Amino acid sequence: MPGEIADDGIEALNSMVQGAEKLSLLLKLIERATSIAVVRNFLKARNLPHSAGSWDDLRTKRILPAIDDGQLTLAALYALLRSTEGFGRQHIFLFRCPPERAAAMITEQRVRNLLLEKGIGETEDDPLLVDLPAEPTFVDVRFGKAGGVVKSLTLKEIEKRTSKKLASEATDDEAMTYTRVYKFEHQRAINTARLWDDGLLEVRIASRDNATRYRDDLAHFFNRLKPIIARNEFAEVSLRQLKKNLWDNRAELQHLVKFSTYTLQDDEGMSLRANAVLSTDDLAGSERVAKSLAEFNAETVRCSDSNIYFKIVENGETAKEIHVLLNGEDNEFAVTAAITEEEYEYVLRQVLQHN
Amino acid sequence: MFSAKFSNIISRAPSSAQALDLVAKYLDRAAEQKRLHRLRLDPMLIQQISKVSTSSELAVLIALLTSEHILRRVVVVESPAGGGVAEYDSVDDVPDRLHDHLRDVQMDVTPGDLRTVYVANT
Repeated sequence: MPGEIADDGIEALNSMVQGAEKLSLLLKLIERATSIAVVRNFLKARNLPHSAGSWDDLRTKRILPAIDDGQLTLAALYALLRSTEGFGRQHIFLFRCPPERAAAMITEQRVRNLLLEKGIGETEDDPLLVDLPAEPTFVDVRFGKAGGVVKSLTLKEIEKRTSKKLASEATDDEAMTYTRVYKFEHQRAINTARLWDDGLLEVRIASRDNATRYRDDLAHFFNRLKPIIARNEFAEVSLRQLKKNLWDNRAELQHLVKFSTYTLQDDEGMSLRANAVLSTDDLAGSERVAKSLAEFNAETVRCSDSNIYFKIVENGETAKEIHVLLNGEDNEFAVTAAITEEEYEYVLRQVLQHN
Repeated sequence: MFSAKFSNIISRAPSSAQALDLVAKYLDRAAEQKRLHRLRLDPMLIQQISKVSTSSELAVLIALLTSEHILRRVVVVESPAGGGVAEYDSVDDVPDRLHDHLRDVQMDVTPGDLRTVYVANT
């Protein structure tokens, strides 16, 4: 009949619409996860036109034409999302298990079978794209390999979080009441677990706007990671030594670490806290602070928390400082700002090296 | 000074014997230094002293120590200015609002203001 579309035509149309929706969500998530500069560099590295003053320009004048021309693939955009989303703005908890157990746990076949049991299929090159899932959802599994051997397993989960934001306030003089109305807001939070073949496990929980403790978030995430990663197989990696070593070696590490706060506490609950005023100041530069802390220090004293910055040095100059919060649980540290994958790996290396 | 109590719980929970022994030694040393009554042990410090590696082992250990009245739990409301402003036996006893004398203001207490420490039952 004239005007009627054949079944295969509808299918093709549906597939095009789905593809366009997927691409649109992918671009939205990339926009939310990173900066224009990072995407421009990504295009530049592929010898593609990359100048753009806004996200709109970047999308319509650079990315979409490159996809239409076949110069840019969805897989490359997924890779960009993977390397920008879920780094920083996180509380990281470190654990360890015997290497032989870790090696058995990250076997590709085992993980894929367990994921299938959870209803999660192949996601290697096409991670499940979700914005705000009703239930926390695993969207990506990655096997880090070297010479064909699996060295690490990474599982990424998207969690919808709901918080309250003050919307309006009203005073009723007659009734002598004061009313505040809060609006619910949803956020997309990314939690990640990475297990290495040497037994190290990093569990990264997305930061909350209004909480400082993450014990419950951690326990819930571990519950969802079962049985791929079982909490009872792991011991916590204490970061007590890291806090001590960084301060003790501050003179040699001056090019690498800056201290903004440092708190010592003894077993009688007495504490001594040193604070710098400006974010550019370094406590390690004050001899009087160092002397006071040394005076208080004893066998029964430990560093309970510290705010530090790891410096990234390029060509002899500090190119960037990454704020790291060392407090909370004994095996916990937090990166408070969004950073790149390379920057996260750098911070993790420093944490492990100095612990 | 707690040796009888420690023997009692070690016989009840032999799997925690090593951790209990380390806590017993720590408390004995503090008693020798005559500062047992001054100890304010937070869960993280108890974990370091006892060298237990998981939160669940720590929870069991603390339950054993408090059930035998070796340690007593104190919930402290901390002022944002630093320092404690009030102490309670349990979280349920903490009021929603109280006077923060360190700042001389009424303070709305949130879970983030609470800190748990354990003191020796001397």
